[in-house]
Amino acid sequence: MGIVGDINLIDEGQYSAWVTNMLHGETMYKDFYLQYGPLMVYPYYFFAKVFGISFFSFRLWDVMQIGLSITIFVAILKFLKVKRIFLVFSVVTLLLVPGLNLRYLLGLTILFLCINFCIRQSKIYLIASGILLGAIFYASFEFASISLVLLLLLGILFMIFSAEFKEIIKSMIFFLISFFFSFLIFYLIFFKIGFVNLYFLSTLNFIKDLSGQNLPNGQGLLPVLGASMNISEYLRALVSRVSLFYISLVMLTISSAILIIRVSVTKKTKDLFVLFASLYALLINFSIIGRSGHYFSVFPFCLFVFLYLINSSYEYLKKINVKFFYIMLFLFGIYLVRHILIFRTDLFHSISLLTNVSQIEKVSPIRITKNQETDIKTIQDFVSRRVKKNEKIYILNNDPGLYFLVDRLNATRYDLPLLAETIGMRYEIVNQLKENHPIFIIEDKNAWAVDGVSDRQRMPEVFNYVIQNYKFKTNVGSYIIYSLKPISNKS
Amino acid sequence: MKKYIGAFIIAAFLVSVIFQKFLVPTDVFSYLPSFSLDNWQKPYNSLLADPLFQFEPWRIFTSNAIRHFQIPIWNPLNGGGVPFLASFQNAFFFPLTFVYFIVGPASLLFTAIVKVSVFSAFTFLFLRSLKIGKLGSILGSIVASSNYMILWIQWPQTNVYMFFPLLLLLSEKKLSKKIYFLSISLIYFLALLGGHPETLFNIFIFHILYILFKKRNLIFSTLSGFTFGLLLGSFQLFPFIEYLLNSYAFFQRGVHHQSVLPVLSLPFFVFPQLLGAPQYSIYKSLSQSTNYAEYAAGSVGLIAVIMLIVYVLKYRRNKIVWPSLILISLAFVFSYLLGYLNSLVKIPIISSNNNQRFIIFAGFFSSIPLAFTFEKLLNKKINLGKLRFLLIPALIFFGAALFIKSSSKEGVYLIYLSKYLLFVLITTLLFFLVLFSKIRFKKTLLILLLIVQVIIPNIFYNKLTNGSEYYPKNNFIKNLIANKDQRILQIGNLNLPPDLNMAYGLESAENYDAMDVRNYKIAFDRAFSIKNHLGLVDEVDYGSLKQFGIGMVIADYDINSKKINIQKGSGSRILLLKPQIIEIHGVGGQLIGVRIITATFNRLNSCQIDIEVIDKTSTKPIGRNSFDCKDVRDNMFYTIPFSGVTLTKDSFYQIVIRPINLSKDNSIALLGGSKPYLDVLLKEKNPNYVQLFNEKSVYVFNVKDAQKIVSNIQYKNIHQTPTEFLFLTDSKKDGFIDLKYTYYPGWAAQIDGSKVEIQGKNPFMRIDVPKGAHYLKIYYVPKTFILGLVISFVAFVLVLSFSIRMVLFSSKFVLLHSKYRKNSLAILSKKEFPQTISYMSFAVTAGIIVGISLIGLLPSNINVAYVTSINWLTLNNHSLILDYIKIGVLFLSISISIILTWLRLTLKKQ
Repeated sequence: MGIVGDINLIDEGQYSAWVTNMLHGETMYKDFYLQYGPLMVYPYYFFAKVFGISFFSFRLWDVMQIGLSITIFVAILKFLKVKRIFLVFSVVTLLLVPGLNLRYLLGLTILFLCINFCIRQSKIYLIASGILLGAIFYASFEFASISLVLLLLLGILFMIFSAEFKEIIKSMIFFLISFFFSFLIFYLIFFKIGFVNLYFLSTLNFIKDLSGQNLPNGQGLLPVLGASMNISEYLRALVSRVSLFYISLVMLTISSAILIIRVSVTKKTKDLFVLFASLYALLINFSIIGRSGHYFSVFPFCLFVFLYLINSSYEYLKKINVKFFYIMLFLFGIYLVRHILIFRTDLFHSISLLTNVSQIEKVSPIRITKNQETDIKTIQDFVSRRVKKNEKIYILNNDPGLYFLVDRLNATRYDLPLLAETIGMRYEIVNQLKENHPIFIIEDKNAWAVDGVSDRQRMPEVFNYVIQNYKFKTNVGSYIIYSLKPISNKS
Repeated sequence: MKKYIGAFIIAAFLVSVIFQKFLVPTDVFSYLPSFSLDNWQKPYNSLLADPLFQFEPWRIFTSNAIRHFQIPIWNPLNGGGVPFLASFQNAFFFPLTFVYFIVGPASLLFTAIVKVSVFSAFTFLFLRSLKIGKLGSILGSIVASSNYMILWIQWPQTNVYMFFPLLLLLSEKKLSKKIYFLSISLIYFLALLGGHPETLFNIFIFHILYILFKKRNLIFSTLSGFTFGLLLGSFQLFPFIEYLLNSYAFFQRGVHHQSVLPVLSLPFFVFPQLLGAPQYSIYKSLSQSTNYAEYAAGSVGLIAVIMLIVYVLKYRRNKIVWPSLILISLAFVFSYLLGYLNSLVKIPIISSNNNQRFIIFAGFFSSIPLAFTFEKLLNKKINLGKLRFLLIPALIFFGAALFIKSSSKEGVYLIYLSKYLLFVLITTLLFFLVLFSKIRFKKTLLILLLIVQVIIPNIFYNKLTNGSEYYPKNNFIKNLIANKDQRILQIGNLNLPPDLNMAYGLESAENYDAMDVRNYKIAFDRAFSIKNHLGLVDEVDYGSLKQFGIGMVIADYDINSKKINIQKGSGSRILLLKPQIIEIHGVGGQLIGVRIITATFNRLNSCQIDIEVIDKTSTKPIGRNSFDCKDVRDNMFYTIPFSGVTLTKDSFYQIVIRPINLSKDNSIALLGGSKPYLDVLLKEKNPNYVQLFNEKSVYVFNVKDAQKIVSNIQYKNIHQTPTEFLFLTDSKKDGFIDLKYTYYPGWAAQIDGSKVEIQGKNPFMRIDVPKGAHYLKIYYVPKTFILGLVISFVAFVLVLSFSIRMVLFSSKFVLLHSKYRKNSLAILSKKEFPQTISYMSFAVTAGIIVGISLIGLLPSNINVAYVTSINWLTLNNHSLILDYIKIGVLFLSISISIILTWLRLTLKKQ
């Protein structure tokens, strides 16, 4: 990420496509579909407005996000009185292993503010956490819900254990008022813009339609559990990437159990906070069961819990059994190195791209590989010559970044067709293609078959429609262009 | 005692599961012509229809939903779709129902045993709490459990009633107000889940009355506990209230419902089997609306009544138990008189309540004077004098009655009555003789004698059936299943009672949940207004069938014919001992059948009936047919086919129904007025119905062009579940889609992701669709369920927090925690650290191994709800839910292993 590296036309691309739509005056959720909250997209939009309409602006926001996340991460660790050496270690580690995302960290921040209220008894923390939670509902419904569940659990625990029952109830009411206040403010803002109800409707539909088996992407668990495997297969599975999912699960489970024991003995609020951080990570881990490729998402939280535990028990272990301390460090080291080996093998290759200086519209000054540069330039050239500014196109694959790069609008609501998962959504695409009849439809020959399922398999209705109503036009780089058949040939 | 009850319940569970005997009265099927085409037998107990036609099909439906990880909030199979969870009686959330979801119908015997055991045990404890001795309390609990809990054990009413003695017990215990409030809330919550709000209302009334008379200081806690219990059950109560307000039954009951016990039923409180019982060969119901299960529900028998009289005469001023006398009186007043109040003052709650069931409280509270008086009399020396000499003639008469036989019906009944009264007299005499004697095993004998008098006569009221008889699939059912997508309407006879269809996954146009969506029911009754003596639709027209999307009709006659009624009336029974002649005039056409109503109950039915059509002018027979008596059913229509018989318009004919080889008890009767009921069926041109099946008097027809979805635009129904329809439309003009599915609050529609109004709501749904290509979604989201769920959750959290706080702040727990803390620090000391670490490492390893082993026991794949996406999971048929379960098991196994090991290390340490 940053100044070097190919553009990820899916992950980075989706934001860029949504920003394109917004720049063309379209309304989110109504004119284009997205699975995130509006606050996830607006920063990209503002950065594009301020720093220019380029992938560089988006990367700038990404870098800022990471910087902000690491700052919050370190600040919380510092609050927990973690030694400086561990703080430095955490910064280095987080720079090496991706996974820390502001979206993920916000839930932890809310918990942190609530715990701060418990320790310092200042209502300002309670107000801040309520406001933040209200806002997160417009960024990530998923993480806001996880945070709300944990806050509820925290409230219940205080209701049970605290001697001042009435005070707890009062504080909960206070928190809820600040939450609703912030929630309402954003509601009114987005109501004025005109999409807030659609956002909630779309989110509820997303939860209803795309939960369970209807998941847009993701595979089942690594077949370690319940499958008949021999020892060598087990060992191979153990060193595979997805085994990190299980290792994180076991690590977080053990940490949670240790922290429950600690809380029951020490009754320290800080221990309680880290316990909740651990539970938060466990819930994230559960939420990625269907997307076990996202195992790295919980790494920062494992690091967080580990550093707290190792730091707080260091003095004690030094006196009792220092070997145990080093064994723990060693085991975590292996876990860390495994992550680094996965994510930083191309570090030198990325650095070498620094020398690749060329001007690409909407990409520069980011340095990308020659292959991607050629692809982007040829498709930009084709579209600018053959498609008028007000005409729409449709890209059959999950390359939403192309809409941004060629600056043309999508003929359907789905910039990322992957998200049109249910049959109704797939037919919605067909209907919109019928309505808007884009003159060109583009197919990426090298499109990534998500989870090994090609887009042709995934959206048969859409491809059938395209086959019946469009004909092959030409090849442009790695893209196939289809054009609309004459009316008499259409079905 | 707890151990015995526990062992008994476990044994009951094992017996139920191992022997696979189901408490489902499948023999009642033989009442239906469709299920007894070849082999008709009298049902063992004809009063047990509801468990077979309603409750078990509901359980089958819910089990299927559970297996697909769905909450059955909506039943699409009846009445064009009705709310399911909201109807309450399915007791979906009742804990005992969960056993059914695991072991299936084999659990029913077990749950019945649990219900009776719980009720008896709490009645015993309640009586003990009144300072009544053990033996008296046992006798009291026997009497209290002998009636309603046995006769209604298969109904959800007993799920609720089983908690009544527990509520009274708690009010007698000296509990702190907080604990009392919490307990009352939880019990009312459980009782609410039991699935019968009416019984809940009844037990609440008598609970409050008891509190008013005996524990006035608890009145506020009781009322608030009841309210909080309802709040805990909001997730089911709110949808129920919504359904009630939209129901047909609620508004109709007040008009037609009087619900009282007839005065004539009073003697049955003492002698419940005076008119026999449905499980005996002799039984006659008191009136059409008051059957054995109603009037015997509160009966207590002669011993208890004598005790009650002694109590009134001698001990009525006793402060502990005198309120029971008032409560018994009130129960009688409520069940015999309250219904009449409705004629004077229309109070909805009275008019819609089954007030006759208050009688059960008379039965319950009679156990108090019985137990109390018994204890008082137990040690008294009373000489019964010459009374003991009554026993000898009674026994002689009883013995003689066993050998007397009679050929007449009246004679058979009189012999039965003598035997029954003598049986009651002998058991009563023996009881009191033993009571005042000094013989060995006195206590055991007294218990046995009471059991013989009040329980034994009812013990075989319910019958167990074999797994092989469980919801059979005969040719009739197979035919229906082959056309599963069609909505069915039965006309004429009862062949597929509404809701029985759920057991086979079939769809019926009628519904039987005692509620009914009002708009649908009114429209249905308007469209199919001709009803017969069974209350079923008797005649249909093609237009109405199409209007209701009914694709299949089950009938007792050929509906392609023209049915003309010749003789009306079905109120009286005409015993077929001599030929019956019915005149026909002015009917022209080709005769294809004659339809009569037969009555066969309590008869031998091995006779034959001849039926002849005579031209009155020439006096010559022009058609003749005959049928065996065993082919006809009680209270049902029977159609005798004819061919080659032409009736000329304005001519006179006679239908002669003539018995062959029959006697008074070997015959059938015909229902009718002064003459037997009679329809003639004439051949009709241009039939609209295609016959799919016909065996004897059971026909199945397909209705041509009947559709459940009608539209004037081009559409494609791409997906359909009970609570969701997805359509794609493509039209050059504005149009509509009519769904022949009932509109009910909670149904909504979206076009291209934006909400639109459902236009038609009475009773079916219509959505206006604009021209162009659109994606239409119609779905059901029960807002009351969601709101109720939130309220229940909050209430549950409060109860839980409150309960745990009470434990945590108790001195016992504070001491325990201090020990735990001290030991925790000790096992982490330098000396014990290595050992602790090795224990904990072992715990982690054990947790992982156990977790993986448990996961290995899980099925490799499970059925999941149908989804429309095409992704890795669906292509590989991989259940994601199973993955969640596996990870959950692993997580729980590791964490529980660690925490339990830690607790073991700390709390066991001295």
